[in-house]
Amino acid sequence: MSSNTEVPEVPADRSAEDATQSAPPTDGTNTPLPRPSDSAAVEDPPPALSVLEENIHSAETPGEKFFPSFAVTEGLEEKANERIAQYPDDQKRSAVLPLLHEVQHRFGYISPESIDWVAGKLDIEPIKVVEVVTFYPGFRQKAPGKLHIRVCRTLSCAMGGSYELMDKLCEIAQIDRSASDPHKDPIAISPCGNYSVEFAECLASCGTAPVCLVNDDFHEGVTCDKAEELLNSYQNA
Amino acid sequence: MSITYKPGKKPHPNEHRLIFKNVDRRGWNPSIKRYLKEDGYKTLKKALEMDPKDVINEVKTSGLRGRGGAGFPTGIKWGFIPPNNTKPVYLICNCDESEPGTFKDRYIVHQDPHQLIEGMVISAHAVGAHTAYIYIREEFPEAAITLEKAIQEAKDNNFLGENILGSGFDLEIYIHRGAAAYICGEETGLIESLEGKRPYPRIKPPYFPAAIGLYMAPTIVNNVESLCHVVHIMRMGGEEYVKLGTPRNSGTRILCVSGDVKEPGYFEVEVGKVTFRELLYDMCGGPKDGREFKAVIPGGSSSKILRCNESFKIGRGDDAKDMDFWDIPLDFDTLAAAGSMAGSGGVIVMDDSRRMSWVLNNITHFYAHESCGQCTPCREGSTWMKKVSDRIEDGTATPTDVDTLEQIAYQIDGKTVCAFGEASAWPVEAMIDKFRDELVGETSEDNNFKSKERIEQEKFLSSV
Repeated sequence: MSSNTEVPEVPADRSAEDATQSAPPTDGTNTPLPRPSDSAAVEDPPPALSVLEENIHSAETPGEKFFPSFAVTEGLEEKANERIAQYPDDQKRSAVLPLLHEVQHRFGYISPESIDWVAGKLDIEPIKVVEVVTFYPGFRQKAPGKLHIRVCRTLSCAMGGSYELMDKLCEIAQIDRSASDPHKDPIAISPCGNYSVEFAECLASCGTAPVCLVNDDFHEGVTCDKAEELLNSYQNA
Repeated sequence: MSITYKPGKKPHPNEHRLIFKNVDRRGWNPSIKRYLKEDGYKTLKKALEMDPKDVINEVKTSGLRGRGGAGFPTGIKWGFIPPNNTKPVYLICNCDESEPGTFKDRYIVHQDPHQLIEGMVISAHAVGAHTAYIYIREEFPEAAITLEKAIQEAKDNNFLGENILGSGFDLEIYIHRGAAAYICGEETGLIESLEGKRPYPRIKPPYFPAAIGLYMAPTIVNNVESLCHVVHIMRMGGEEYVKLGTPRNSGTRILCVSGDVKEPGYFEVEVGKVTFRELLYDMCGGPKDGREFKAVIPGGSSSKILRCNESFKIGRGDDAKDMDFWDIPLDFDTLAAAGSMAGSGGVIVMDDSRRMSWVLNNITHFYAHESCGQCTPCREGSTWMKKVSDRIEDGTATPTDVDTLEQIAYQIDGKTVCAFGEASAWPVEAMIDKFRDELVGETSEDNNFKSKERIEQEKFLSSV
């Protein structure tokens, strides 16, 4: 260890330090190690979600008002049956992705109720739907903005200025991306709920960089000076 | 018949257009009416009259190598279906086009869907498949609609469905949309995804899903471009097709150029007939004003980067000769001999304004995001590589971090179920190999980076 390493502060609370040095419990219960910094914060934390609840939970967002809440309509039922028929009778599970796409297209995101519905429709356990939803970046579990913008961040687009484009879009739409995380929470939404942004990985149009998808519309050569024009083009839509 | 293209989209004289003949063409549209006007589906009629074995032989004769990235001979792949098979055979078109730098399939599925469908019907006839799926990436929502419309049109004209053109051959094609996961481009990952699961690639052997694939039945997975080539092979005949390109690298292929060139874009050329000099200077207009070319990634972001001032020893023994970077032809074998690969044809160009640490960082972020998490070396390693390259990029790394990064890469390479391990490790290995001095130059002995986790841990250590 190099000599200029700061000497760590001795924790004020001796009991916390003792706890970390004593042998870990051997009865299999994983009691979390108390951390010195925790000793001050003893206020009531919000009720913790179980792992399952956390995985299916849809956080409330300002974009919600633009999407209907999940309901099984005749149209959805019909479309779902059509998709299921694409696969052999004993392989209904294959239709998980198409059904989730149908749900997300109509209701904006995948809610816990829709997971149950898809599972029931395909005669599989809901966990088999949850594992798919949580794996693919293409499925979201909270409502995006009315206009969801996916900006490509991979090499060619980054060289073409996609990071600048993202900054500009955030500036115009007043979006704060500081809490976004590419794995856990890639989508950032404007307070008004009209816009949301997300960095996407390679949209396969590297020759016309930088590119982005606005809902289902593809736009190429969107340098940051065209950001305003892009958003304006949706004003009347 | 003379063909006119949209302004600014005319093919370069070095090009040889087969697959991209109709892309960005004046007066062209994706309808079947337009496709039929120029002998569309005529080749299908001819192929359906042939014995499936003869179709496979014709493709073998053509020497067609898969255009998805690995360059495996398509005809040989088709031949791997067990001869005593009693299960249904499936054909899957891999339209997941997700390798950064590649954008060829986009144009085919958006502008010329019937070419793909014709290729798929011929291929399905050859391998005996009666159900085929097009696995299309989620980021092509418009193409999914275009393709579904095209499939309906083909059905209405009896080029699909039951008893196609009276031949007794049945085929249904369905669209299956992915959900933005890079790993679905790996054929066994794609199959898992099509089965409705997480796309964890399958353990090999069997090395080819032709033995055991979708629903445990023999399955052929081909790239969009490869399937389109089948139409032209059957139209021209394998003997004629093999005359295009160079020996062992027959036909045409689409090169997708992006990055720091004056005119990026797609170019369909005979394989091996165009060198880097011709491609980047003549066809792409050279570097941007006042800039010089620095490095090129020749076949999608997972191929190893090449320095523009390098020279290579190509060939073996007495045949070996020195070759400048600029004289390398873009074919499968020469690029492999130069230590990289032709991959999916995505050429990404960087000029002297680019910091290699920044490029490296962008690539490691991609692979850290896209690792499926099945194999530990890749799941953990890709994230470690991202963290270390973050430090190098923002100038908080020490010189030993570069060595650490290299070690991590070599511990992923060859130790995973699928080729994603290599795909994530190769760019890092090559980048360090070719630009070590530049990367080390951005580090400092005086840096003393500590991760959040380490600072937390140190709180519990009495003496450090």
